[in-house]
Amino acid sequence: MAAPDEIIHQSLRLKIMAALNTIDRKDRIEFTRLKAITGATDGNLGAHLETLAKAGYVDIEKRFEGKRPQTRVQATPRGRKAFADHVAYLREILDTSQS
Amino acid sequence: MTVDREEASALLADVAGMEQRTKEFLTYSKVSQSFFLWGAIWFAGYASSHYFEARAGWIWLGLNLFGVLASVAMAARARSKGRGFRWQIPATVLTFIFFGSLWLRLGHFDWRAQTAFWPTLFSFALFLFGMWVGRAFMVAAAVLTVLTLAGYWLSGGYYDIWMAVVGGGSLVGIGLWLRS
Repeated sequence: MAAPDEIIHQSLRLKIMAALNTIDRKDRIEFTRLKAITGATDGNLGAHLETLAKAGYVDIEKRFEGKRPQTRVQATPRGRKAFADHVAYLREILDTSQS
Repeated sequence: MTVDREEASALLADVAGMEQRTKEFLTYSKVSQSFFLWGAIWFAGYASSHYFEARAGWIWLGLNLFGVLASVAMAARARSKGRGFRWQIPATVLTFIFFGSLWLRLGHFDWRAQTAFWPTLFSFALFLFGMWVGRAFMVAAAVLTVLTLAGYWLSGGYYDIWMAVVGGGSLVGIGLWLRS
Protein backbone atom coordinates (compact mmCIF):
# COMPACT_ATOMS: atom_id res chain seq x y z
CA MET A 1 0.00 0.00 0.00
CA ALA A 2 1.22 3.53 -0.84
CA ALA A 3 2.26 5.72 2.11
CA PRO A 4 0.31 8.83 3.15
CA ASP A 5 1.92 12.25 2.76
CA GLU A 6 1.41 14.14 6.02
CA ILE A 7 2.12 17.53 4.46
CA ILE A 8 -0.43 17.18 1.66
CA HIS A 9 -3.01 15.39 3.80
CA GLN A 10 -4.17 18.59 5.56
CA SER A 11 -7.51 19.60 3.99
CA LEU A 12 -6.59 23.05 2.60
CA ARG A 13 -3.15 21.93 1.42
CA LEU A 14 -4.79 19.03 -0.43
CA LYS A 15 -7.18 21.49 -2.09
CA ILE A 16 -4.30 23.79 -3.04
CA MET A 17 -2.37 20.91 -4.59
CA ALA A 18 -5.50 19.67 -6.43
CA ALA A 19 -5.99 23.14 -7.95
CA LEU A 20 -2.31 23.58 -8.88
CA ASN A 21 -2.15 20.07 -10.32
CA THR A 22 -5.04 20.90 -12.70
CA ILE A 23 -3.15 23.83 -14.23
CA ASP A 24 -0.65 23.29 -17.08
CA ARG A 25 2.86 22.47 -15.86
CA LYS A 26 4.31 25.65 -17.37
CA ASP A 27 1.61 27.97 -16.03
CA ARG A 28 1.34 29.77 -12.72
CA ILE A 29 -1.75 30.99 -10.90
CA GLU A 30 -2.10 34.29 -9.08
CA PHE A 31 -2.50 34.19 -5.30
CA THR A 32 -5.81 36.08 -5.45
CA ARG A 33 -7.26 33.60 -7.94
CA LEU A 34 -6.07 30.61 -5.93
CA LYS A 35 -7.74 32.22 -2.92
CA ALA A 36 -11.02 32.50 -4.85
CA ILE A 37 -10.84 28.88 -6.02
CA THR A 38 -10.02 27.38 -2.62
CA GLY A 39 -12.22 29.76 -0.60
CA ALA A 40 -9.37 30.34 1.88
CA THR A 41 -8.47 33.56 3.70
CA ASP A 42 -5.29 35.50 2.84
CA GLY A 43 -3.47 34.49 6.02
CA ASN A 44 -4.50 30.85 5.92
CA LEU A 45 -3.60 30.41 2.26
CA GLY A 46 -0.25 32.20 2.72
CA ALA A 47 0.70 30.02 5.70
CA HIS A 48 -0.16 26.75 3.96
CA LEU A 49 1.64 27.80 0.77
CA GLU A 50 4.76 28.46 2.86
CA THR A 51 4.53 24.94 4.31
CA LEU A 52 4.18 23.47 0.81
CA ALA A 53 7.07 25.61 -0.47
CA LYS A 54 9.34 24.46 2.39
CA ALA A 55 8.58 20.86 1.40
CA GLY A 56 9.54 21.69 -2.21
CA TYR A 57 5.99 21.02 -3.45
CA VAL A 58 5.23 24.50 -4.77
CA ASP A 59 7.24 27.37 -6.19
CA ILE A 60 6.19 30.87 -5.14
CA GLU A 61 7.17 33.77 -7.40
CA LYS A 62 6.86 37.37 -6.22
CA ARG A 63 7.07 40.08 -8.86
CA PHE A 64 5.68 43.45 -9.87
CA GLU A 65 3.01 43.85 -12.52
CA GLY A 66 3.54 47.55 -13.19
CA LYS A 67 3.52 49.04 -9.70
CA ARG A 68 1.33 46.30 -8.26
CA PRO A 69 2.99 43.43 -6.36
CA GLN A 70 1.87 40.05 -7.57
CA THR A 71 2.38 36.58 -6.09
CA ARG A 72 2.12 33.63 -8.45
CA VAL A 73 2.27 29.94 -7.57
CA GLN A 74 3.09 26.77 -9.44
CA ALA A 75 3.29 23.10 -8.39
CA THR A 76 6.80 21.65 -8.76
CA PRO A 77 7.34 18.23 -10.40
CA ARG A 78 8.06 16.88 -6.90
CA GLY A 79 4.78 18.35 -5.63
CA ARG A 80 2.80 16.86 -8.53
CA LYS A 81 4.26 13.42 -7.82
CA ALA A 82 3.58 13.71 -4.07
CA PHE A 83 -0.02 14.75 -4.81
CA ALA A 84 -0.54 11.87 -7.27
CA ASP A 85 0.90 9.40 -4.73
CA HIS A 86 -1.32 10.71 -1.93
CA VAL A 87 -4.46 10.52 -4.10
CA ALA A 88 -3.48 6.96 -5.04
CA TYR A 89 -3.14 6.20 -1.31
CA LEU A 90 -6.64 7.57 -0.60
CA ARG A 91 -8.11 5.57 -3.50
CA GLU A 92 -6.43 2.44 -2.20
CA ILE A 93 -8.16 2.88 1.17
CA LEU A 94 -11.55 2.96 -0.59
CA ASP A 95 -10.69 0.01 -2.84
CA THR A 96 -9.38 -2.08 0.07
CA SER A 97 -12.42 -1.42 2.25
CA GLN A 98 -14.81 -2.27 -0.61
CA SER A 99 -13.22 -5.65 -1.38
CA MET B 1 -1.19 8.54 10.51
CA THR B 2 -4.32 6.50 9.93
CA VAL B 3 -7.08 7.44 7.52
CA ASP B 4 -10.43 5.67 7.59
CA ARG B 5 -12.74 5.04 4.67
CA GLU B 6 -15.07 8.00 5.38
CA GLU B 7 -12.20 10.47 5.62
CA ALA B 8 -10.57 9.14 2.44
CA SER B 9 -13.89 9.39 0.61
CA ALA B 10 -14.45 12.99 1.80
CA LEU B 11 -10.91 14.05 0.82
CA LEU B 12 -11.24 12.50 -2.65
CA ALA B 13 -14.55 14.35 -3.10
CA ASP B 14 -12.72 17.59 -2.13
CA VAL B 15 -10.04 16.85 -4.73
CA ALA B 16 -12.63 16.19 -7.46
CA GLY B 17 -14.53 19.36 -6.52
CA MET B 18 -11.37 21.44 -6.60
CA GLU B 19 -10.32 20.04 -10.00
CA GLN B 20 -13.76 20.86 -11.42
CA ARG B 21 -13.68 24.38 -9.93
CA THR B 22 -10.18 25.03 -11.30
CA LYS B 23 -11.14 23.83 -14.79
CA GLU B 24 -14.19 26.13 -14.70
CA PHE B 25 -11.99 29.02 -13.60
CA LEU B 26 -9.49 28.35 -16.42
CA THR B 27 -12.31 28.20 -18.98
CA TYR B 28 -13.88 31.44 -17.68
CA SER B 29 -10.50 33.16 -17.76
CA LYS B 30 -9.78 31.99 -21.32
CA VAL B 31 -13.25 32.75 -22.70
CA SER B 32 -13.37 36.20 -21.06
CA GLN B 33 -10.99 37.47 -23.78
CA SER B 34 -13.56 36.53 -26.43
CA PHE B 35 -16.23 38.49 -24.56
CA PHE B 36 -14.00 41.60 -24.60
CA LEU B 37 -13.35 41.15 -28.32
CA TRP B 38 -16.98 40.58 -29.32
CA GLY B 39 -18.20 43.30 -26.96
CA ALA B 40 -16.02 45.79 -28.86
CA ILE B 41 -17.22 44.37 -32.18
CA TRP B 42 -20.88 44.68 -31.16
CA PHE B 43 -20.32 48.24 -30.04
CA ALA B 44 -18.65 49.25 -33.33
CA GLY B 45 -21.07 47.25 -35.49
CA TYR B 46 -24.32 48.44 -33.94
CA ALA B 47 -23.04 52.02 -33.72
CA SER B 48 -22.25 51.88 -37.45
CA SER B 49 -25.75 50.48 -38.10
CA HIS B 50 -27.19 53.61 -36.46
CA TYR B 51 -24.85 56.29 -37.82
CA PHE B 52 -23.79 54.84 -41.21
CA GLU B 53 -26.84 52.82 -42.15
CA ALA B 54 -25.99 52.64 -45.86
CA ARG B 55 -22.58 51.08 -45.26
CA ALA B 56 -23.53 49.04 -42.19
CA GLY B 57 -23.61 45.71 -44.07
CA TRP B 58 -20.01 46.08 -45.25
CA ILE B 59 -18.84 47.35 -41.88
CA TRP B 60 -20.44 44.35 -40.15
CA LEU B 61 -18.82 42.00 -42.68
CA GLY B 62 -15.37 43.50 -41.99
CA LEU B 63 -15.90 43.45 -38.21
CA ASN B 64 -17.09 39.84 -38.21
CA LEU B 65 -14.14 38.80 -40.37
CA PHE B 66 -11.79 40.57 -37.96
CA GLY B 67 -13.54 38.88 -35.01
CA VAL B 68 -13.20 35.42 -36.53
CA LEU B 69 -9.50 35.97 -37.38
CA ALA B 70 -8.77 37.33 -33.90
CA SER B 71 -10.61 34.37 -32.33
CA VAL B 72 -8.56 31.93 -34.44
CA ALA B 73 -5.36 33.77 -33.38
CA MET B 74 -6.36 33.48 -29.70
CA ALA B 75 -7.09 29.76 -30.14
CA ALA B 76 -3.71 29.27 -31.88
CA ARG B 77 -1.98 31.10 -29.01
CA ALA B 78 -3.67 28.81 -26.47
CA ARG B 79 -2.54 25.84 -28.58
CA SER B 80 1.08 27.04 -28.59
CA LYS B 81 0.93 27.14 -24.77
CA GLY B 82 0.28 23.42 -24.79
CA ARG B 83 -3.50 23.44 -24.47
CA GLY B 84 -5.14 21.20 -27.01
CA PHE B 85 -7.09 22.69 -29.90
CA ARG B 86 -10.63 21.36 -29.92
CA TRP B 87 -12.08 21.33 -33.43
CA GLN B 88 -15.57 20.93 -31.95
CA ILE B 89 -15.62 24.59 -30.85
CA PRO B 90 -15.23 26.26 -34.29
CA ALA B 91 -17.35 23.48 -35.82
CA THR B 92 -20.17 24.27 -33.38
CA VAL B 93 -19.93 28.00 -34.12
CA LEU B 94 -20.04 27.34 -37.90
CA THR B 95 -23.04 25.02 -37.47
CA PHE B 96 -24.94 27.75 -35.63
CA ILE B 97 -23.97 30.33 -38.30
CA PHE B 98 -25.23 27.96 -41.01
CA PHE B 99 -28.46 27.31 -39.11
CA GLY B 100 -29.00 31.03 -38.50
CA SER B 101 -28.24 32.01 -42.11
CA LEU B 102 -30.60 29.34 -43.42
CA TRP B 103 -33.52 30.52 -41.30
CA LEU B 104 -32.88 34.19 -41.98
CA ARG B 105 -33.20 33.33 -45.69
CA LEU B 106 -36.33 31.24 -45.22
CA GLY B 107 -37.95 33.50 -42.64
CA HIS B 108 -37.67 36.89 -44.48
CA PHE B 109 -36.88 38.78 -41.25
CA ASP B 110 -36.61 42.57 -41.35
CA TRP B 111 -33.40 44.31 -40.24
CA ARG B 112 -34.59 44.81 -36.67
CA ALA B 113 -35.60 41.16 -36.29
CA GLN B 114 -32.32 40.03 -37.84
CA THR B 115 -30.27 42.06 -35.41
CA ALA B 116 -32.23 40.55 -32.52
CA PHE B 117 -32.03 37.05 -34.00
CA TRP B 118 -28.22 36.65 -33.99
CA PRO B 119 -27.60 37.68 -30.36
CA THR B 120 -30.45 35.48 -29.12
CA LEU B 121 -29.24 32.53 -31.24
CA PHE B 122 -25.72 32.81 -29.80
CA SER B 123 -27.10 33.32 -26.30
CA PHE B 124 -29.01 30.08 -26.81
CA ALA B 125 -25.75 28.32 -27.81
CA LEU B 126 -23.97 29.90 -24.84
CA PHE B 127 -26.72 28.67 -22.52
CA LEU B 128 -26.31 25.10 -23.79
CA PHE B 129 -22.51 25.43 -23.46
CA GLY B 130 -23.02 26.58 -19.87
CA MET B 131 -24.98 23.45 -19.01
CA TRP B 132 -21.84 21.41 -19.71
CA VAL B 133 -19.03 23.80 -18.78
CA GLY B 134 -20.14 26.24 -16.08
CA ARG B 135 -23.25 27.99 -14.82
CA ALA B 136 -21.76 31.46 -15.30
CA PHE B 137 -22.28 31.04 -19.06
CA MET B 138 -25.96 30.28 -18.48
CA VAL B 139 -26.34 33.48 -16.45
CA ALA B 140 -24.48 35.46 -19.15
CA ALA B 141 -26.73 34.00 -21.87
CA ALA B 142 -29.91 34.81 -19.92
CA VAL B 143 -28.75 38.43 -19.33
CA LEU B 144 -27.92 38.93 -23.03
CA THR B 145 -31.24 37.47 -24.18
CA VAL B 146 -33.29 39.63 -21.80
CA LEU B 147 -31.38 42.80 -22.76
CA THR B 148 -31.68 42.06 -26.49
CA LEU B 149 -35.42 41.43 -26.26
CA ALA B 150 -35.92 44.48 -24.03
CA GLY B 151 -34.16 46.59 -26.68
CA TYR B 152 -36.16 44.98 -29.49
CA TRP B 153 -39.49 45.81 -27.91
CA LEU B 154 -38.80 48.94 -25.89
CA SER B 155 -36.02 50.99 -27.50
CA GLY B 156 -38.01 52.38 -30.44
CA GLY B 157 -35.78 54.12 -33.00
CA TYR B 158 -32.70 53.70 -30.81
CA TYR B 159 -32.46 49.93 -31.06
CA ASP B 160 -28.99 49.90 -32.68
CA ILE B 161 -27.67 52.36 -30.09
CA TRP B 162 -29.22 50.21 -27.37
CA MET B 163 -27.46 47.11 -28.74
CA ALA B 164 -24.16 49.02 -29.10
CA VAL B 165 -24.11 50.40 -25.57
CA VAL B 166 -26.12 47.86 -23.56
CA GLY B 167 -25.33 44.74 -25.65
CA GLY B 168 -21.64 45.52 -26.30
CA GLY B 169 -21.22 46.86 -22.77
CA SER B 170 -22.83 43.72 -21.32
CA LEU B 171 -20.41 41.48 -23.21
CA VAL B 172 -17.45 43.43 -21.82
CA GLY B 173 -19.03 43.40 -18.34
CA ILE B 174 -19.61 39.64 -18.54
CA GLY B 175 -15.96 39.22 -19.63
CA LEU B 176 -14.81 41.17 -16.55
CA TRP B 177 -17.15 39.14 -14.33
CA LEU B 178 -15.85 35.83 -15.74
CA ARG B 179 -12.26 36.96 -15.27
CA SER B 180 -12.86 37.86 -11.63
